[in-house]
Amino acid sequence: MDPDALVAFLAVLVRSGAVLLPATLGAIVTEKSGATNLGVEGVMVFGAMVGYAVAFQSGDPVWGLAASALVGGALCLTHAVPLVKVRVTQEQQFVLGLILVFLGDALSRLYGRPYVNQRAAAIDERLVVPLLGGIPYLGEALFQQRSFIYLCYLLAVVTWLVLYKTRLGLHLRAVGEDPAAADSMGISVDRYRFGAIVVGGMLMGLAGGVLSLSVIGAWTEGLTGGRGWIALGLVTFANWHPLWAIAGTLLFGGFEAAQFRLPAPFPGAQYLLGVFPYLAPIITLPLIASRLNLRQSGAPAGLGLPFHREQRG
Amino acid sequence: MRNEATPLIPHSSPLIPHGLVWFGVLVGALVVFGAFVVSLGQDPLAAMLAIAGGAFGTAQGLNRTVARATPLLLLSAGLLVAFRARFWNIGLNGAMFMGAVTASGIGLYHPDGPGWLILPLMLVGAVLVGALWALVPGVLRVAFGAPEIIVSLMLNYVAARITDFLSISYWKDPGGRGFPGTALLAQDFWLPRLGETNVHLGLLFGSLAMLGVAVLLGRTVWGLEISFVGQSLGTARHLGVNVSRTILMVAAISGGLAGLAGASEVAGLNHRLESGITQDLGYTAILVASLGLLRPAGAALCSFLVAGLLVGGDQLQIRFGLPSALSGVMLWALLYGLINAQALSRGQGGRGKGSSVEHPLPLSPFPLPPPRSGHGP
Repeated sequence: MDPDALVAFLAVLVRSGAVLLPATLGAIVTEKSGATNLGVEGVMVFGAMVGYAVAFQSGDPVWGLAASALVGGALCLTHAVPLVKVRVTQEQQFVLGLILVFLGDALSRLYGRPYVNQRAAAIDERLVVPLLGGIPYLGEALFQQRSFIYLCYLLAVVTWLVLYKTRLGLHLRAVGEDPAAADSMGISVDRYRFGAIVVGGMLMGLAGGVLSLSVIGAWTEGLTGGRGWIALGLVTFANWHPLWAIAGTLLFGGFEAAQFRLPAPFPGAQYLLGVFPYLAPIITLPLIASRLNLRQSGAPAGLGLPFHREQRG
Repeated sequence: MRNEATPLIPHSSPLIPHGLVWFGVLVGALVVFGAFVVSLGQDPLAAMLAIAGGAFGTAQGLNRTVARATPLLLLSAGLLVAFRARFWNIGLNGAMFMGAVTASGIGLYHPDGPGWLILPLMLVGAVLVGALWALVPGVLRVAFGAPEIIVSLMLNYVAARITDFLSISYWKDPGGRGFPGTALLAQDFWLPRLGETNVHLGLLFGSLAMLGVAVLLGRTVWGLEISFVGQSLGTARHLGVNVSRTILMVAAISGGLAGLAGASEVAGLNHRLESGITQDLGYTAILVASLGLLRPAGAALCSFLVAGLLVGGDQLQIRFGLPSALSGVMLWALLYGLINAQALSRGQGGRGKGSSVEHPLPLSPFPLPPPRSGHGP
């Protein structure tokens, strides 16, 4: 493979991986608080549509990205209320997450029609990082991306810092791990879970905005094409750790880049190559799951369980 | 309806929401739906009438509704079994794809074979492959404790890509120009239809499957064992139930029925393999089963209602220029209202004494097992 093709491959890899990262982080934040949200795909697709529409109307992709994060959070408000206030059970959480996918998809189709296949001038600009961008080959692949791509990787580091290096993060993890103990320490389980679901939703919506504004540069119905589900699979793949999520998304970005940037050995090969991102969690899950029993995993022990203060043992 | 589980397990709380609750949920959903129609600048009442009329009002609409309900019956019947054991198989879309692939593969490679042999082979093959497909998350769960919800979900996309590869590339109809599908199957391999309608033999399969599931869950020892596994893994083991075997069995049943749904779409309706042939009905079936309160009668009824909603949604597009996705909003509003109403009426919410109810009964009619620690989706 000649170096130029390799550079192009790496650039696509970094870009495709970056889209998955905020969505994965959103799911990690949500699940670390002990709540589940299977609706990533729906939140992401609605964020993608709104982000694109706002950028189209305002002429500024930054407004678009902000809007996609906002609507992501707003959409997840509808998820947070039954989970935190009504205290639905684990399986009700699953179903609520699934119907959130339906809602997000339907909303994006309802309000996105005027923007389908409209080419906007206001997509995210390429940002060449000073100095680093000048490195031959490597700089071209990594540091000449559109600006939101860097933001995605930055968010992973920020999420890691907040979750593992701050009091806020400690409390959040305590709420997910052992809500009763957290409650007796005076931490408001409800408030943390509510906040985590909404902030998680903002990250998922933002991932959609990055997809439509920085990677695809257009809006079509069903734009996310299952990326939200992959993000959900990546949470377990990354063992609920924001930095491992970077490694996971890069691997997945590689599969996606390989689909389109590598020469196809036979016709239709891209469809079969497209299978690998989905196979990876299946292959790694048994490994992680067997570690789950040893309690070495990052999975919160209270995941999916409603917290009833009155029943605190 | 309430005895359909088994008298051995006492029901401690009302399982079916009060009629008023249903009414409230329905009104709430209609209000939400109406608000969206208004926001798109159309008359909400006319839109609702168009959906109902488009789904059930005309012969053609009814025809389409029944055809759409057929795979939903098969899929939701399988889900009832899996969910009763609390095996969260959401990979029915994938199993349905694989069933469709198997059926069309057998048909395409034996174009001159006798119909009486090939057609049953197509159906049986689809059931087997669908069951095997669903056994993957089953085996991984039993052997490693891998969460089936993620494994089955990911396999949906694997199956969709395999279908794409075959229908768009490998088995593509050379005479089909740009159409993403295979050539039509030989006419001998088509399921018989009722007169000039789209209603085919698959409807009988679906009805029998739902009936069989009702008997299995309500009247047999296996059904009881499935219920025990769903209730509590520990208790089930204590009672001598082979938990692993039961989980594998419910996985295979749900996958097999989904495979049959795929085959019946190929042999009964489309007569070829197409990209996206499942129309995401594997996901819709989860909503159908939940809306039907995980009961055979409820799921059967909801199969037709939801099918009608989907078919009627197309009328919005034709008559008002509104996106057919509006029916998705309606479906969301219905389930969202129902789940919240169920949870609230069982006293799960709030801060009062009512929330200390020992049975936070969810969609499943059985009390929750103790949480498996660290089991994440």
